[in-house]
Amino acid sequence: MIVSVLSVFLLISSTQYGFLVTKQLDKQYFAEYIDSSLKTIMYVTVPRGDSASISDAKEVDYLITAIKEDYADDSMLDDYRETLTSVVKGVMAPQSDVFNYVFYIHIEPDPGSAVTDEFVYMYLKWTKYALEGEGRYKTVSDAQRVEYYCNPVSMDDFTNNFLVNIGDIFQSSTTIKLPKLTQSRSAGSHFETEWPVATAYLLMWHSGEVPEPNDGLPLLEGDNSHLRCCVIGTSDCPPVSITP
Amino acid sequence: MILVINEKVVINKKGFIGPIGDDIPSLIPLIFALVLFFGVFSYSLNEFDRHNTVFDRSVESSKITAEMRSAAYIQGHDSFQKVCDSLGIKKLKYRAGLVELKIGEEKIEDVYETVNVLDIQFYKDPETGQDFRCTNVEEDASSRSGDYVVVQYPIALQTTKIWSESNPDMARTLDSKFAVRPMVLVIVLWAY
Repeated sequence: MIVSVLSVFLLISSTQYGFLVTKQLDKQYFAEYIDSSLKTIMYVTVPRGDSASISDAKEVDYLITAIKEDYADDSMLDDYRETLTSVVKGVMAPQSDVFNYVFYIHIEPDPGSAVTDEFVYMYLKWTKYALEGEGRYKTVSDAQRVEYYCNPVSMDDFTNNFLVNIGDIFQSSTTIKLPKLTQSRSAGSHFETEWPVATAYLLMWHSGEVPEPNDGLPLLEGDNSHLRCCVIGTSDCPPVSITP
Repeated sequence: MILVINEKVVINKKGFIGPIGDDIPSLIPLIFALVLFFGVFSYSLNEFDRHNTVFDRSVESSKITAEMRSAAYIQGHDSFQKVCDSLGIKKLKYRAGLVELKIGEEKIEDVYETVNVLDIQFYKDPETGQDFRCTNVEEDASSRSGDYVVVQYPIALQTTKIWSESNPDMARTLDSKFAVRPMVLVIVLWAY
């Protein structure tokens, strides 16, 4: 009996040995991965003008510079929104089969201010699929990659109905100062520049089913949905992002 | 069985085998227990050893990736080669390098094809011909079987952009106008 107990103890120890370490190593790897991804997105240069590629462009510039320039004139990301989306898609391509991800730029309102959250840009990629089979082991079929532009009602709404329901998240963030041209209140056509501090976030999580919020409202699509997303490439998707 | 007691011969016909022979039935579970114990012990040792090998590889790969990844920005081939030369990995074999990421593709899921990680063709700058790869093995590892670890990280590569001859209006400049391209740093490690 003593030998049996010892054998069982050894067997359990050997199967569980390193489980926590392996899990921690995986977490660290994905945390570093998402951090590298965000930095890469921020660092890349994009062609200016009508060129489609860097090799042919007469002028290139940092993507972050182009974003700031685009936002400055009308507080919207319209000219370079598609370019930013291409870069995010390209950088996240190696993990897009297994992970869903979202990239967004958010401006936090000043405390006490009546201004609500502003989501300057939000691109969400979700792989939807059907599960076939009975029992514990099922197969994935009909996997479809769906891409959205979204504009959540508020950051609280986004956090409470989306982030808490998608499981373990790997995320990285960085602050960006976005220039905002406003007309001076004094006489004349003088413009002043404000510098709201925005934060760019990149999050990824393992692919899974779209969670359903507790209040019964849809999460992603629909006018009354929490994230107010539209599917890219459809006529429903507005050409520019919505600002409050 | 015949017993000699006080010089009298007693014949016992009730199955008495002897001092050791009588213990044979009780030895069977003991032997079974010992075999089970040493079998489980041996299996456990192999498992511990296997996990430790994986951890060693993970620690070594962390060292390589920390050095090569740095701030997720590589300032050209010289910077890449400098990092490559400073890696002092002796316990494991590795192949590391950059792979170009495609930007602007509509159907991103159809862009990449499946490749053998041990035979990846790393990025070569088309304008300068410089190879962005790093390895401590010379032989062809593409047909190798066995365990190996693969890690990959997106990384930004600064390259010198040389104006192409198809833009005759643009003069070649010597002030190194550059472009920053998104790449993936791929590192494959395996044991000797």
